[in-house]
Amino acid sequence: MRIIIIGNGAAGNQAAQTIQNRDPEAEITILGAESIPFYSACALPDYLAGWIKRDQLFLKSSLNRHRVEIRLGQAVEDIKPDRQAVTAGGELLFYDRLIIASGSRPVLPNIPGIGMPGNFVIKSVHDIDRILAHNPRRIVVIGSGNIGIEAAETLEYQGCKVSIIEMMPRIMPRLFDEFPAMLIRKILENHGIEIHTGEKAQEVIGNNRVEGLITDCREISCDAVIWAAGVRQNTELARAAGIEIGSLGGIKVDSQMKTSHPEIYACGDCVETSDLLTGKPALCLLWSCAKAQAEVAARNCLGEKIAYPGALKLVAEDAYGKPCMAAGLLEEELNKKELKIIEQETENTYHRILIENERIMGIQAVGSMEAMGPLLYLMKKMVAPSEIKRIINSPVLLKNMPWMLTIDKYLQ
Amino acid sequence: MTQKRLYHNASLCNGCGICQLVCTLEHCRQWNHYQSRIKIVNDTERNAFYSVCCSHCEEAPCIMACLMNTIYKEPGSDITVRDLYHCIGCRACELACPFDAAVFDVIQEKVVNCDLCGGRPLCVEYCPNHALTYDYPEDQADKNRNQAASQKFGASLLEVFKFSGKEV
Repeated sequence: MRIIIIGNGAAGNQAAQTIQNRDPEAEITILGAESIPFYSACALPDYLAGWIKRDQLFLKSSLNRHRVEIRLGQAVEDIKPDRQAVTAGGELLFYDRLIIASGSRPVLPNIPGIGMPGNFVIKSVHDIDRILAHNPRRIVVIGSGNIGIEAAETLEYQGCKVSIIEMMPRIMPRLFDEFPAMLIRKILENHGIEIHTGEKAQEVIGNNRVEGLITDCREISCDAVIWAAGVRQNTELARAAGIEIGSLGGIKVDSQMKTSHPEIYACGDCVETSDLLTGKPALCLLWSCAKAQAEVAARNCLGEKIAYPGALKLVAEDAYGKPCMAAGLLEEELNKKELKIIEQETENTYHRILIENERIMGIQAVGSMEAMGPLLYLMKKMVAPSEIKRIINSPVLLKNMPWMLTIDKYLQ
Repeated sequence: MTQKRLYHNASLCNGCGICQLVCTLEHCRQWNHYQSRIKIVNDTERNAFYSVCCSHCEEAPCIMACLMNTIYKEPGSDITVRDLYHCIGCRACELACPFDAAVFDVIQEKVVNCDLCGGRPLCVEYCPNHALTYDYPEDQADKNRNQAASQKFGASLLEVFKFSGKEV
């Protein structure tokens, strides 16, 4: 079987690996737009901070290169579903199954001064190389999501003066509720990062080079602006080929990761799947989701019938040595009437568990991640808190599941 | 090919914590139990001790969660091992582990799991009560079965003795 994978990222490589493990005879072609080998995008902030070397970014792959052809620097020009072919580098490549893992790209707003040198995004190794070559000292980070916070922290670690501009009233607005977000904000501010929430960038000023940023409240002088205000799915290829696009802007797939076209599968950042907890359409731009989706897509490609259970939002963050994690839904996304919030605060830690209708719907922790793994698993399996209590109270059951004891104190 | 595994007998364990100390000494050269790869949890209500340790799952969630592809199955066996050179300490595998068995090593700033000491676990050697054993899964299942059967048989034997009026 001839399989073409568009995209040389986490999803593309995981799909190739899964296919090769199950069917060593399959002929796989990976088409990567970037001209560098497979690397981990999640480690880019660590590389920016200098904690890891450049060569540590590149991941070793155990693909059998006799059966896998990796074409780097060859962007796919178009997909022809009726001929079962794609064009890349002027060449027509035929496939039996196509996996689209084209990923995403950062959003840049259309404001004056965005094209000047000194505007950066954090998406690929080249972006980091550019930032390091620019050697900025005074930086404004736009957006306080996962990438924004990590970028700010690592640049502060390098000795830069960093400000964060966030449009919403709190930092990490899509990950944390108000109180834990405030705790993280305090940690960051104690280390000298300026945070301005509820502001919007209006204009980048400068003379051939970034010299400042104007928001609707103030003007900040800086020599670099890092845009971390979200990402957009790369769906142009799929759209041009007539593949259905979902309401949130990702390639629409069913639970088997199949697109509207029977021979074409999609996985990774570019798809729109359903949320594990609510079942509603959701975008999930995480490494672990991409890998899980790629595995499902690859196995379905080979004729197995595997369903993807749905994406769970899960973020682990390190705020100056304090581990923070958030999973599932936020308080504002849940039904107020049936919501029960368990909060526990000590001097250094904070835990918040949201329970709706006897189901754990959200977990947020700051300062300690102890016992959060088992709790997350119970959340994924939709185990009711009363059931957890029953296991803890029964010596026979507890003997086989001793880790339940550690999560007991968080559910009091 | 099956591999030997760690087994913990809760009825023999008195929670002395020597296994944790030798584990940390072997792996981190420290004399404390905070970074032990094997955790002993205390059930205060029933005064019992249980162990939590990497069970080397067949389809390990930590392998899927790893951002750097550093966790893999050792070729030729089914042990989950880590290539710590590439580990960035993001703790994603710690969150993915449903058994809370991945341990964050604060000295190296990396996440580690039980590696069975390369086939000769020190915790088993130093356990004073023989609560920890290192055995093949099949043998351990046999032992459990024998134990359960003999317990039941012993109980019924007691009944017989009581019935016949003999002193035990």
